[in-house]
This record gives sequence, C-alpha cells and structure tokens, in this order.
Amino acid sequence: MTKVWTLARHEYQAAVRSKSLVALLATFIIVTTVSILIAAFTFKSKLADYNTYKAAAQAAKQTYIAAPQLFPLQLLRGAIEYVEIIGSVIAITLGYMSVARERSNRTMQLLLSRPVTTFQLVSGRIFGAFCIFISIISVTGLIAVIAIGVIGDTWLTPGELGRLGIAYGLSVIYMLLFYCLGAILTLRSRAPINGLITGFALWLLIVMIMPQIGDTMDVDNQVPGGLFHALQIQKSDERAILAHFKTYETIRNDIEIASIEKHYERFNFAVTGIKDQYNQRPLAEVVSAKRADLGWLGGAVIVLFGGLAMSMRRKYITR
Amino acid sequence: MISIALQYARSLVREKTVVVLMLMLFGITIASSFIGWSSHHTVIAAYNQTILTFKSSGKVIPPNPFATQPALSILKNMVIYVPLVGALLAIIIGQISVMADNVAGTTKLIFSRPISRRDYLAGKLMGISYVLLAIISICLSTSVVSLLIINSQLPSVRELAKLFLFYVLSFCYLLFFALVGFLAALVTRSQSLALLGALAVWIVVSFVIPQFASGVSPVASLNPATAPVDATQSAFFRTTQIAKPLSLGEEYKSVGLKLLDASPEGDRTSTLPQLIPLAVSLVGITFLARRRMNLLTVHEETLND
Repeated sequence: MTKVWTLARHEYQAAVRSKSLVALLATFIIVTTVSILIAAFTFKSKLADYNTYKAAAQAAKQTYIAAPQLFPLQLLRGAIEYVEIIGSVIAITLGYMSVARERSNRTMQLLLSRPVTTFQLVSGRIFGAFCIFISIISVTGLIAVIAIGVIGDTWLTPGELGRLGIAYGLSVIYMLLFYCLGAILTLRSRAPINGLITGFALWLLIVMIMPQIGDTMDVDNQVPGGLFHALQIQKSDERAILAHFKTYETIRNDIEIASIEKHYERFNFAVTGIKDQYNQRPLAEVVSAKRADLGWLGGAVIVLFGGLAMSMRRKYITR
Repeated sequence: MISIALQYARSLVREKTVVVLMLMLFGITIASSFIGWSSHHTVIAAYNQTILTFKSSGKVIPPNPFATQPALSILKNMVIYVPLVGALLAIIIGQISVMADNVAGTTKLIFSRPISRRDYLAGKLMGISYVLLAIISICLSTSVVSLLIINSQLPSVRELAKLFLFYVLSFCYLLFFALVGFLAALVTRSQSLALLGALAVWIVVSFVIPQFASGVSPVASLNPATAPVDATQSAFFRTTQIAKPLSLGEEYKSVGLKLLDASPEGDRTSTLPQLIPLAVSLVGITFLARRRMNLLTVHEETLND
C-alpha cells in the first residue's frame, strides 16, 4: 500500500508542477464557474418572476397559487456538459503527460529496477489521477453550491447535496476512463505526441461526433424547441407516433449508446433531475431505471483499467 | 517561398495522424449528407403519421414545417462537423508547420540560406493554405456528389454557388484555427503545450463564448437546429448578447446555415456584418504570428551570439 501511495503522490505532485496542465485545469474551473453563474443568474430571474406572480395572486386573494417549477440541481446542466467535454480532454492530457514525462526523464527504467509490481504501478497512477480529479471536481462542486445559494437564493437540501455527490462521483470515474485512454495510447505510440493526437481524435469521435449524430437524427430535434412541441402533440401521442419508426430509433439510440459519454450524461441528467422524466423521483427509482448506463460505465472501467495494466509492459514503458 | 510551402505540404501527407484526421473529415462529410437525408425522410413520415392521429381525433391539422425543404439543407450538419473535426485538423496542421522543422532541426539549415523571416512565414502560411484548400476542395466535391446521388439531379447554379461560398467560409474558419495552432507552436516551442493551448482557444470559441453570449448549452450548440435563447426573456442575456459578434463559432454556424438554406431564423438578417469578426480575427492572428516570428529572430540571434 505504501508503494501505491508513493506512486500516487508522485503522480499528483508531477501534475501540479506541470504549467500546461494547471492552465488547462484553471480553464476548466473558470468555464464551469461561468456556466454555473449564468445558470444561477437565470434561476434568480425566474425566481423573482415567480415571487412577483405569487405576490400578485395573494393580493388578488386567489385561492390557488401554482408551486414554482424551479429546481436548483437543473442549473448543473452546463457544468456536467463541461465535464463531458473539457473534463475528458484534461484526463487524456494527464494520461499522456504521465507517460511522456516518465519516458523523457527515463524514470520508468529506474522504477522498474525496484521491486514494484505492475498492479502497484497501475494502481498508483490511477489513484494519483483519482486524487487530482476529485480535487478539481470538489472545487467546481463547492462553487456550484455557493453560487446557487448566494446568487440563486436557494441552498441545496441534504438530499440534493447527496445527488450532487453522486453526479460528481461519477464524473471522477468518467474522467479516470479518459485518463486510462490517454495513457494507453501514449504507451503504445512510439512518439508520445502521436498518442495525444490519437487520443484527441478518439475523444472527438466518442464525446462529440457519435452523440451529435444520435442527437441530430432525433425526430424531435429537427426544429428549434422540438417538432412535437411545435405540432402541439401530447406525450402519449408522441410515443405512439415514434413506435412506427422503431428501426430508425433503434439505430439512432445505438449510435448514441456506443459512446460512453452518453451513459455518463444520461445517468447524471437523471440523478440531478435535468431530464424532466426523472425530476423529483426517488433516488432508488432513478438509479434502478438507469442501471444499464451504470453497467456500461462499469464495463468501460474494466476494459480501460485492464487495458492500462496490459500496456504497462516493459516494451512499451521503456520505448 | 513556394519551395517552403510545397515542402511543408508534402511532409504533411507523411504524418499518419493528419491523414487519419483528414479521412475522418471526408468520412463525416459523406455521413453528413446521409444523416440529413435520413432524418428528413423520417421527420416527413412522422408528420404524415401525426396527420393520421389528428384526423382520427378530429383536431385541426397543423401545417407541415418541412413541406419545401431546400436541397442544400441536407448538408446542414457540416456547420457542426467543420468546426469539430476540421478545426482540430487545422490546429494540428498549423502546429506541425512549425514543429516539424524544429524536431528535424531544419530551421537553422533553412535560415543559413538567403531567406528572410518574412518569406519563411509567407511560405509556411502558403503551405497551410494549400493543404486546407485541398481538404476543402475534396469536401466540396464530396458534397456535390452526395447531393447528386441523394436528390437524383445536379444541384442548380445557385445551389452550387451557395455551396461554394459555404466552403470558402469554412476555409477561412479553418485557416483561423490553423493560425492559432501555428502561433501556439511559435509561442510555446513545445508540441504538447502548443496543442493544448490551441485546444483551449478552440473550446472557448466553440463552447464558452456561445454559452455566455447566447445561453446555448455546450451540447445543444452541437445541434444545427438549436436557436439561441430569447434575450428579451433574461436580463443577463440582454447584457451579454453584446458579446455575440465576438462569438466566431456562432457566427460561422449562423452564416453557414444561411448559405445551406437551413437557417432556423430564415434569411432575414444581413450576412456581411457577421463575417467581420472572422475577418478581423484572421488579420489579427496573422499580425501576431508575424510579430512572434520577428521576436524569435531576435531570440535566435541572441542564442547564436
């Protein structure tokens, strides 16, 4: 355990010393903060509108006053999407740097001359990356809670904090997957930079293109605001109409779910209630409904962690 | 100058990662037409199904929002793929133009010949432009062939002109990112740092500014049918929409959709003012690259001394 801890600490310290990584982390924290602030200001404005309506209704002695349809966790949409996009870039970069640094400094040969097993090498790296990701995610989470509380005038309840914790915990795992991908590709490339470029090309495919194809093929996404909304079709009718396009919908869905990013998004959007269908539903019910997405993410963890262990061979490390 | 440009263009073809990204862009250009065609046919079928549902329940039948879909609009996804795949490819092309000489150690050899920094820069920029022009020309040809196959007829002269203009716009947009990669490589002198720096600029241009100026969430901005939030509904966006002209990504998308007859806002707004930020950015970044090149000259001479 001491060896794993030492390797993890080395990974963490090296990352913090890297100016480019720190710059990328700062960019991530800034854009996430901006996204949350924008959402919090919009939320505040909607809350003010509701309070105006409520005051007018009370003054008119109306018996029924509609409950506010405002849910603070929905403000995290932008933040979660930035984890999907920028978080994965950071993770690939960290994976690349972790290998490229050791290669250029020739420290791997030194490490391999010590009694360290492959398991310890892999665990140390992953644990180090885990600590880095949890630090960044905690900072953005804290900013989110404070921004929603101070600007949006709504402090999260313990239940909402728990859901936030689950969403951000999954974000750390999601980033670890891309860390492994970056490290594997760099380990298997003769020139480390090719590993990074290949990582970005794959990132483009997995995070951007595949979900984008699935999204733009969605019948409801063909006009701004949604086709069925424009045609004023009820949800039940919408389902009945879509049932006629089962093959098309299956292909569209299969393209989407081939991307691990979509599973991360679907689970987190459900837990935080960003997806209306799961909003205000009990957590156990949501997790149960989304267990397939968790299964896919679990499968990706096994494949990529295993892939990293297999790539941590002398012939790749000492290139 | 022309020799430098040609030498650079030839060296790029030997870079496997560049070739892979080029193939990815060509592949996605073909896929874009198919996706546009497939989703259009499905949405028409969905509308027809809606009519049946409405008739059976005695409701008023709404007009078909896709009754007359212009032929070019099936290519609308290109306004997303060019800034995604094309921009990453352009960044790499830009940075390789500097890094390849540094890594091979040919920079000093080139400058041992009677060639000025200005000619060297012009040669590099010409090389980048040649490569991007070749890529864009292939994408244009692919789009024309796709239109021919899908619509079973040749595009009209007007459609060809609009498609040509769309790819001219795309060339300028990609040139900007190639110059970002080029400048990043000049500034950092490290390949990974240059790539990350340019990527950070791309993220800000593609996602952060659009969200700040128009309230479009990062993932929603990848859908060509997404309209910006109604600024009149939010005091925040009433203020931040001032920054909209700075949003190169959004302006590219908006003008591109107009050229492809697929704009959700229609053709009401004037296109020319929307092109000014891109033109200014191109001039500005070329100026910065030239300045940086001059600074490098001083630096190298100091080192040589």
